[in-house]
Amino acid sequence: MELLSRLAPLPLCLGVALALQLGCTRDAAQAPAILVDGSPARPPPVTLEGVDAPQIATRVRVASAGSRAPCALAKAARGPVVERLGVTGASVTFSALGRRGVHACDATDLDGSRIERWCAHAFGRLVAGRLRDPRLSITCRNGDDEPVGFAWIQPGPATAYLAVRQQGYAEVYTASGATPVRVTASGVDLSTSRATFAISEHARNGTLLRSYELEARVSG
Amino acid sequence: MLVSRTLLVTFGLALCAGWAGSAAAYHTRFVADNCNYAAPTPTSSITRDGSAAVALRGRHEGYQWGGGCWNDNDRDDSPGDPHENPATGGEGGDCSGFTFKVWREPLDTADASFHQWGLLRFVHGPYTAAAFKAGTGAPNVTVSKSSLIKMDALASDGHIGLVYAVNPDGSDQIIEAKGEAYGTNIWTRTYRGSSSYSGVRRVGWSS
Repeated sequence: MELLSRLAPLPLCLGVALALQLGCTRDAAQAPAILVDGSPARPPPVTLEGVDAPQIATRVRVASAGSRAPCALAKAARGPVVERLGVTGASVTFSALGRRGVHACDATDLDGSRIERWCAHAFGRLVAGRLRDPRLSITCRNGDDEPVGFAWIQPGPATAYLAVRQQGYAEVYTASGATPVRVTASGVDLSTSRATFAISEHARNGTLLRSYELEARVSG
Repeated sequence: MLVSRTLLVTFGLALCAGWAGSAAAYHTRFVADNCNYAAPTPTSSITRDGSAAVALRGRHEGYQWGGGCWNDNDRDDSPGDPHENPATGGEGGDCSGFTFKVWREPLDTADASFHQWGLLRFVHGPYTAAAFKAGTGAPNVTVSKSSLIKMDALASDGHIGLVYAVNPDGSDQIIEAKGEAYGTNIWTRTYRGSSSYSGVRRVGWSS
């Protein structure tokens, strides 16, 4: 009897230990294994300083105008068309003839079919090469019917990588000069039409250059 | 561990700096003193004339980039806000926020039903002018410009205005939130003839 009463807390302890273990396992499982198109998620070429979460490299492809347009609006592109693929979203950034600005098409994988659904379009005016606004779009949704935000970030000239914190991982984007980088975030507040992006910028060797939170609002 | 703590501190400082920056740039207390976040009232579909009446209550009430809250006293209570700064907290909507509220749209882009927002309810809605132009969202469709009638819209990548009336010469009287220097009002415009503009319609009007 005495032995039994001594052993009584054991299931509880085991339960706690199991829960903790499952918690760890679940945390580890939160790092996605694939990108939005179903291709394998890989780490960036260098480990980024100060980014605790698992780091996942987004894919970038630069196509010339006139090649197969990824979204209908990109048919009017002049100059390079930059396609970016992340875990929950994909985007295309390009310039159009006669407009001092950049356009974007944004897409998510809405139904798990790994087919991108273009669900947002953005236009940002450039003034002296700088965007006046991140041009947040929040009209896309993921497979769980949660809103996905897209916005342009203009990194500093020394920035080679941008890391954007997501739940359980960080998406890493390659940057080139001050060219706007269209990034994705899940921290969207529909009631106020805002989204928050937790960002860090890194040098080519991964050194942390700066980190900040960007609160973007739908406007204009 | 040290690095992550450093990062946390950096984030904290950046956040504080951001708040401090916002506080320093804060230009007016209109939103803080007057606006609310009350839930909208789902409502049956309204007529185009009913929507025009909603729009007219926003006339002369100013302009705020990223804004969506105004009263009905026929003056801009926060004139001269800095351009294209959504954090100044001024009165008025911007072009897309004005359209969203006048068209009584819901926040859920998959929902085309009508929602009545109070004038002082601060809401911009999920659409930019470019999104309206593309017909994004269940309530919005693109239509030919020749078919536009009262309370349809003309949208470009950077602006949207609502057709209030069509002039005999084919130009339109547009009710729009034009800009900080102009406010919200009715002007005669030739957007219909511009290749930058497309026709957009809110679906579901009762007449």
